[in-house]
Amino acid sequence: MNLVVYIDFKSPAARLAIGPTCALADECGIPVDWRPYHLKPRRRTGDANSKGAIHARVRAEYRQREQAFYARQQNIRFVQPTTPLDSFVANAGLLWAARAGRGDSYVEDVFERIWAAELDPSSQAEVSAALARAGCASDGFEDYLANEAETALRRHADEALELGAVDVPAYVVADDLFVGREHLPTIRSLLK
Amino acid sequence: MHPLESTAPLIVYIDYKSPYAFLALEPTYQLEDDFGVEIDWRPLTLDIPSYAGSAKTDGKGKVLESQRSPSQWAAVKYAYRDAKRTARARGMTLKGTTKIWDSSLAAIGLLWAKDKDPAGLRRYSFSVYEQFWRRELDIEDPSVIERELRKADVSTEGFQDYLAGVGRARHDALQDQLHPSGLFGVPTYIVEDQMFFGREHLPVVRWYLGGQSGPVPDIAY
Repeated sequence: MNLVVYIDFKSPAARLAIGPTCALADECGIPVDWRPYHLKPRRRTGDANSKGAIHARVRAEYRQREQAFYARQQNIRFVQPTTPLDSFVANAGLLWAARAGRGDSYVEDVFERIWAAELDPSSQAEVSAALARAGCASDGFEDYLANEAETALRRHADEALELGAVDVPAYVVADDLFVGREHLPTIRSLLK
Repeated sequence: MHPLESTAPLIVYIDYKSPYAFLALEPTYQLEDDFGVEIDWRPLTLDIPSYAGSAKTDGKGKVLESQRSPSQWAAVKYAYRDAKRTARARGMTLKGTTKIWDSSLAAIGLLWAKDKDPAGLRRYSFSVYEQFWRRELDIEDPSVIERELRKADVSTEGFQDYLAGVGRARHDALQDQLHPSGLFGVPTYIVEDQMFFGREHLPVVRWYLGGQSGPVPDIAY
């Protein structure tokens, strides 16, 4: 059975899912087909004091506390960014690494460093260095970023949205879609 | 009533029009049974149009009215797909609603039942949730709420006055305090001064109630 996992490097929820997802894949002895889902930044327009805006703010503040709680539970370095992350280059790097069959190494290394504030996901130089660490030649990556990456990322995002994925991590297994690592126990039972 | 304080070890906020709160009801009551603790149930009446837009359907999926963006539609569709999948797996009936209901009367019924008889509240909540999600209960009708309380063996003497007076004031005053207290959705669990939104946190709520022994569990359905 195949396990497809859509991720976006700027997502804290995806960061927190990496360890448990890799552990599940190891346990089940199956490879993970990591795919980038480059999410559009959520921008709220209109009255900042509207009920909807207040709801969004309260929810976002809660999410930060929740993510910090589970990061401590996982004993991982987890630095909440003060400004929204731009993950375009890092997500394109995943496509590049996957072509070379190095997706696993790249995903684990890049997530860990971004969320430890040690890697800027918008930096071509830093992502190229991550590709090298993952064992991929980065010759041609600059041209790829300039010419193909945007279309390729949009194709993956359209594909994920078509499946019904509204966020990351999104798991596709046995033709079913699950959003969030809380589904890992169900996914485990499907894979075994 | 302070939104985050209680004499009970666990506060749980619910809304009868939330499919996720419906799915959380049975496993949450299981905590009460397993640990022999009292749960302080409270209403959080969601104002869904303010953050997820609004829509009406014909009950067969045809949209009759909509004030939702494509991303709001996608989120709502996934939420129902996910909730229905869980409901099917647990043998529950969960039919998508055809409009966004005002669940405040049912919420005031919760406050009434809680004061009168906690065991009656349990019967009331299961009955209201199950019928509502089969599309068999008009929770906007005061007489229906009173009938549900009676069915749950909860005294209803004075309920209609409470519904329009003290109960409504109590409900509305609580709702006004929720956002300032960091509350926004259901089910929400308050345990040991920690807040958790969603039934995926039941493992950690259970860990707290069980004395925090062993490693902290991760979220899981």
